[in-house]
Amino acid sequence: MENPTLSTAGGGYQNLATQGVLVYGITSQLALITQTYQPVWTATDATAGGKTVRLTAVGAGDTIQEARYTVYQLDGIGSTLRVAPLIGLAIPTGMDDSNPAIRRSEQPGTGNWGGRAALTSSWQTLYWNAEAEIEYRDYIPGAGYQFGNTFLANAAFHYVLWPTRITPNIPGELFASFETNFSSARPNRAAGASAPGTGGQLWLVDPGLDWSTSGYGVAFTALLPVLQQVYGQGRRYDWGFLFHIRISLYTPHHW
Amino acid sequence: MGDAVVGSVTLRIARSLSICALSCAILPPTPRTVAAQPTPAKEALVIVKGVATPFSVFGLLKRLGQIPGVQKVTFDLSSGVADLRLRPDARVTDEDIRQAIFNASYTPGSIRWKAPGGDHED
Repeated sequence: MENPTLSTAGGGYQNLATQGVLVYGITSQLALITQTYQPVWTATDATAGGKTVRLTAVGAGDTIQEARYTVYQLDGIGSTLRVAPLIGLAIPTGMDDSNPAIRRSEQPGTGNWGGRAALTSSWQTLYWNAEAEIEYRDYIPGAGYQFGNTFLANAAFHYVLWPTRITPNIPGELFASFETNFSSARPNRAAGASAPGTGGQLWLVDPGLDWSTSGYGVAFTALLPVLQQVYGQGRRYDWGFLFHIRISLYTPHHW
Repeated sequence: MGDAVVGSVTLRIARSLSICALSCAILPPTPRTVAAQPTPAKEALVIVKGVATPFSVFGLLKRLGQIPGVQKVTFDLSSGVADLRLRPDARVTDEDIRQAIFNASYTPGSIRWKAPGGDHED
């Protein structure tokens, strides 16, 4: 194992992806969650013959299928505390060779089947809610490449800025959100050896605003790094953002 | 959902039989009158726990409104109290209400029945 070092190389790497999430409530405890990533667009700088060129790749990303089951629920007046384990399968539906000139870890798809297990919890009240989650992801080698197993820990706190009094007739709620995401990944492996510049730790803090109604929600969240270490010379994470749109398609079970 | 409705109907019949058996045991052998029957309640106040967002109230109201005999339902978020107004001929049981709340993914609390002559809590 290489020692983690602070990465200094930006490399001009950019990633832009549209993530679709469909949550379907089978019962009041069991929910199926499908995540799709498409299209995924990546760009990176490469130096050849003393010249820097811009390389891009675009294509379909992977699909994640998860099942979440609530094992503990404590309801109070205007509040609910829930604990739910989650298992999931990463399906390599993405393009892992969209642009052969770009290294494998920066292609739209991973080309790896994977499994994931998580423990999620949420404490929701009328005026604020908090969430916490830990997750482990494991990948199976595919086409000579294996993404590093990853541990993630996420926490979030949302607070209602408006309105100041919650009633059933309000048009929507404006939340201030503050989230934090930590990930620790093993280096990827190519042909049985560690791929340089992959794996390591990344810690983000994410302030944001969220407008939520019964039919839809819109959120904007900035992703700001406070700590990053990469095994070898990897890409530096400068900043990111999430623009999130939610549309509620209520199921017969719940409505 | 059909199973849930059948279950509550079965329970209602069982409760009626037990009340009948108790009445037969303690009442003198005189003709039963309408006045001897409890006055049907016209309103029920129910504590509902777990409603933590205003946008999930619609689902709760719909579930409670689907109980046969329920005429109107309102819900107060801050107190967690659902107010069920019943038709005069309604025969709604505690179990009907609790099952509807469970089906809406929430937890039922105490139920207080309000009749024209007073109220009582189960």
